Amino acid sequence: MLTIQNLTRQFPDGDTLITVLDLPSFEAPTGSQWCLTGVSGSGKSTLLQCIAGLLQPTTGTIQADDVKLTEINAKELDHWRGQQVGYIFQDFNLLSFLTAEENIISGAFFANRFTHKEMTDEAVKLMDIMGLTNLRHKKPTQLSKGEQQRVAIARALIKKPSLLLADEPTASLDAANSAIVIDLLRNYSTEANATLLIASHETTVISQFTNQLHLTKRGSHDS
Amino acid sequence: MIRKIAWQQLWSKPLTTSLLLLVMALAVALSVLVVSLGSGLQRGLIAATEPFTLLVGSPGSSQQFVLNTVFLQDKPLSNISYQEVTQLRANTKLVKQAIPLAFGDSVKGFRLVGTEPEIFTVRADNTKPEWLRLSSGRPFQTPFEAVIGQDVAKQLGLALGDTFYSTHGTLAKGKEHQEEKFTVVGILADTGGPYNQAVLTPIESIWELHAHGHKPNRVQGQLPKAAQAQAQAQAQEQVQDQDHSHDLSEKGDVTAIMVEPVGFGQAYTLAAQYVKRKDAQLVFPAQVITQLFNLMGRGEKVWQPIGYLLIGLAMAVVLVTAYLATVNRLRDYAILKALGATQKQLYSILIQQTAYVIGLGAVFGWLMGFGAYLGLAYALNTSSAIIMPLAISSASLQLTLLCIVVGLAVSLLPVYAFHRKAKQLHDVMN
Repeated sequence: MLTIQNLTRQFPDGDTLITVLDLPSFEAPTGSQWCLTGVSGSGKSTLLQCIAGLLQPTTGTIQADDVKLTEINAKELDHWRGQQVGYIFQDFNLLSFLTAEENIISGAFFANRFTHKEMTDEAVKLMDIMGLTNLRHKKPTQLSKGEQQRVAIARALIKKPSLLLADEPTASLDAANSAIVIDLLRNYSTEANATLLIASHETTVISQFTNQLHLTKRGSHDS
Repeated sequence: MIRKIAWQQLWSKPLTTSLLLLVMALAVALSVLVVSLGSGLQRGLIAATEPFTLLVGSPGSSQQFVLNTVFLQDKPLSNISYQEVTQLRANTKLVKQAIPLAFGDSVKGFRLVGTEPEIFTVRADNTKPEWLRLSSGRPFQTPFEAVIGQDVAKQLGLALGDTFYSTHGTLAKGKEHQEEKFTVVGILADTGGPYNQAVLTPIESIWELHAHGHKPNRVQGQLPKAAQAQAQAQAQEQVQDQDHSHDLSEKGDVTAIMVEPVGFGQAYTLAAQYVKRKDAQLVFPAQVITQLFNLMGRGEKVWQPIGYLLIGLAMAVVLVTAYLATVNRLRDYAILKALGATQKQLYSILIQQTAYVIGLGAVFGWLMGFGAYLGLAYALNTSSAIIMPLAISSASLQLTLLCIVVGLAVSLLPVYAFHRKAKQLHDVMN
């Protein structure tokens, strides 16, 4: 269960602070699938980054199962993220100096609970499922956008995360690739009983989710 | 994986990384070369003086005297009488061994050394074998037999039984003494010093050759006219051949005497006896070489700080570039952070990258510097007769190790800079 209470996040804007996220409460049962909706600037990405522990909330609490994410230290948060969170970015964020296969394996490495053989075997399996086998030795710049996003998804799934966070994962893709990506994420969530949160403003994506969390643009300035 | 990430991220900019390695390597190479040359030269010079405990000769520059006698360089000083050898040998309380040496002629640029067979018994110290050992043949026995150094044999292609003429003076293009042929009867094993380039012959060969050849200037007035004309021509030749400023035509003249004292104290007693003499001098070659080396060492002392400065500058370039690269790669670190990398793992990547550049640069630099030293040492060994050891000097290893240690210590600076920038990782991702 993912539980959020009174979550706000402010960013400095000159001499003032601007609130980009204000979420009084939110609960996502384990294995549930959610779509975060809202216009640009409504705080969808900020919420995902706060949940992943990449961004410290200004106020509020976040709890994943029995782990109070807003109370543990940075090192514990890194370990938790490495083991439990699969994070997919809008612009893929692959490491340009690693091959497709190495990028995928890097996702499992920081979970710190797999042997090298386990990581390699799982990467081979995922590449086979996602049609990346022939591209394993290619660098990200040699891949199409659809292929890059599939590598990014494989990198997120290889560690078998209990929490899958995807920030506009289809924004750079065409309709066909978008459908493949959403299917892959939903299938994983169902099979692994992992909680899935996808941030999107695309109606084709939003319409596939019964659970939706709509965020509104605050834009308020607090001194 | 961390190692792979560090390595592959480093080489994702191959030109920058190669240039950094080159900068570091060149700085270390230069310093290693300076240190190795200094140390090699010192070891070579000192090793060369080992068989020569004391030298007695005519008054003049002690450095020129040692350079000529020990290193077979420079012009010989004037001669002294053979009686000096006899007197030294008679002084058994102080002198264990006295061996005459006569210089002045050469064989195609290699010095001809007139001496006595006793020279083959000289040892640098009792724990070492004889200084001049034969690799083939036998010691000379009669005049115009010659024992040649291994470099002479190699470079002139001389073998046992071969014959050659000596040349008047020490220049390769001097006038040949066609009166008598020398025969090679022995070839020296490696002496580890300048005598690899010596041609040893009985001292009588020199005396006889010069008795046949030309008369000394000082007796010109007593010669018939034809002989005077010949002597004048030879005097003219002597002016042209400036390094043949002495004459060995008088039987009994020697240029230097190698003296092995009975002991350390006796050496100084003997030295004291020569202090007041105006017709002869006694020198300690090792002392003269130390003075000479100190003089040359000043040059090394100037170069050494320049070498260290270059290494310091190279490290500064590496560190500044490492810092700039870190700032440019913040996005990569942010991605790694999102994948679950801890701060410690990110620091480890940064440290490894700087360590790779500094460590590999230092190792390549050492190899380049040592390679350059070997090349120079080889060239000097074959051309100058100062035999520098073709071995690794501990000073160069210490210097390289120091570079690596200091480099690793200062590689923490980009980490500190990254630590300050780490708060921006979130901004980089958005």
